[in-house]
Amino acid sequence: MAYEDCSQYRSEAVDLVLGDLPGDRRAQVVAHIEGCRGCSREVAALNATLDALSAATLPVEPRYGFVEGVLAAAERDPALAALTSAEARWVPEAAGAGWVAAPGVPDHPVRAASGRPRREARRPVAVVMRRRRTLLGLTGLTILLAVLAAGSGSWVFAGSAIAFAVLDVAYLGLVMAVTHLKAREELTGGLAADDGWWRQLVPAPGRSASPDPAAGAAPVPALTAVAPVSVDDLALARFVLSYFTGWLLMPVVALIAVVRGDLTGVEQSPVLGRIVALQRQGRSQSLRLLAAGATTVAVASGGTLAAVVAPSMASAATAVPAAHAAAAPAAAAPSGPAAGPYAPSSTFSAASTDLTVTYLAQLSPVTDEAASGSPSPAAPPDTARPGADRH
Amino acid sequence: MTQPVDDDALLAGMAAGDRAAAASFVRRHAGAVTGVAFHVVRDRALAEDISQETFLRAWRSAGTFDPRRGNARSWLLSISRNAAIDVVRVRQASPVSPEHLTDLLAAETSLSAPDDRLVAEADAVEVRRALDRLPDEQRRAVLLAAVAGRSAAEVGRIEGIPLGTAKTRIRAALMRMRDSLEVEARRGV
Repeated sequence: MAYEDCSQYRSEAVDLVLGDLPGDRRAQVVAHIEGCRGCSREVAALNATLDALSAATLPVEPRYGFVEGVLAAAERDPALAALTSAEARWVPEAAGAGWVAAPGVPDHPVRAASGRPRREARRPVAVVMRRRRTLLGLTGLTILLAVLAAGSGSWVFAGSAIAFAVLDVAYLGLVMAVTHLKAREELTGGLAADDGWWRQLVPAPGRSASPDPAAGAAPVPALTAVAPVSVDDLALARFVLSYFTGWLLMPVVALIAVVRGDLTGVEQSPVLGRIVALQRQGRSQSLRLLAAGATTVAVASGGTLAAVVAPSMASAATAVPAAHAAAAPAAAAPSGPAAGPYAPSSTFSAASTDLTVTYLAQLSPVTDEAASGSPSPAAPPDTARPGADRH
Repeated sequence: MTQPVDDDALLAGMAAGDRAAAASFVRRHAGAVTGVAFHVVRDRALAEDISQETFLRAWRSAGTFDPRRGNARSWLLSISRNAAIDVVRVRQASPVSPEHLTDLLAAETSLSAPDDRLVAEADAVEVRRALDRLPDEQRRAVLLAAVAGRSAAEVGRIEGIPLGTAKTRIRAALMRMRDSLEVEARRGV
């Protein structure tokens, strides 16, 4: 298109970028610009300069709690409420930005970062209950078999009691290891909420990470790095401070709610709004910490008890048949039960103790790591974060 | 130290309904978005309302955002600016001094990520330098239009010049600034 034909449109390009054109005229100018490379370039230049001016203006920090206000407004927005309440799985096409999740990246971190949907929220409790039932079952069977062995003097019961004791301790070790890693993951998620799975995104196959050269767009950085996320001491300190502040402010917020009737509109007050926001933030940290910590402590405590009780019961059970055998040597043939397929009681005790020590040794990298803060070699990269397991 | 997450990735997360991504995105740009709105409406509470609406609009449109067509921050600021202009044109626009507008350009910003801060500060310095090279009348016109969100007609009224002259000044200023910024970019300043 000749330049002369464009003079009027170029004059109106300023109105267009400043938003001054009425709808009908705007449509005509846009239609022209879309078909005219020269005018399109000029409008792009004007827009780019406007953008530069906007980006250079002095920022004005909004009130405290603004972010929470936006999220709350999003929940009230029908379109966004539907989006955020749906199963927050990664849908590449919905993103529309040319990125997909890396193959093999589990969807759990996405839900962990976004807050699990209500239906999913019960799953951890169900898992804990199932583990607890299994542990109780194994321990109960061990005790039952030990009692039977003590009562009957049967080596079969004694052997079974030892086998179940070993199984109990092994299962306990596995649960402790898994729970500990999950707890660390939860805490790390809380400490580094701004990070995580995003950097595991890679360019979609068949799509270039670079901009379309014909479009003349600014270069887009490719997201290829899968760097481990680290949590520094400052983040940890913030987390701990926020956690304790949340608890400390709980009675204050309760008092505010009692005096005011409710907390609606409390954010309008700079002081009260800040107190409530701090308490809410701390409470969210508390819930995260409690969910992760309580599971670890409960399972570890129960497990430690079982680890102490079960081998002792097994040892006691093995001691009884041996006592029976010693008390009635004449009644037994030389090749009787005492000389059967199992070794004497002292050997049983030693065997079960060795096994217990072996399993505890297998657990020790996790507990040692918790104490020292050094990552376990077996831990996945994104959970091996210094300071992330200090709970 | 953690690396800041890319804006495009955060927008992609928002499109997938991730609230944590939205929180990060809002936290990162809240100051700039509210600042752009504030310089247009000159009312802090109103600017915050506009800022909130800006983020909601961005979230709703996050699924259609194409990073190849421009960066997320510019896109967001243009939403804020347009929303503020819509508001101010319904209300009575408050008077503003063109000289005062220069002070609204940031010497520094309060972005959370150090890298972003450096880039934004460098950009602000370049923009101020480009503005300084403009004749006074063009600088006032472009600041009134671009920063204070005034229409060309309003610029004409404020400056006491015909509409055509106001448009010419704004356009000339924007094009000269564009040239200056391109020169700066080529120099690698």
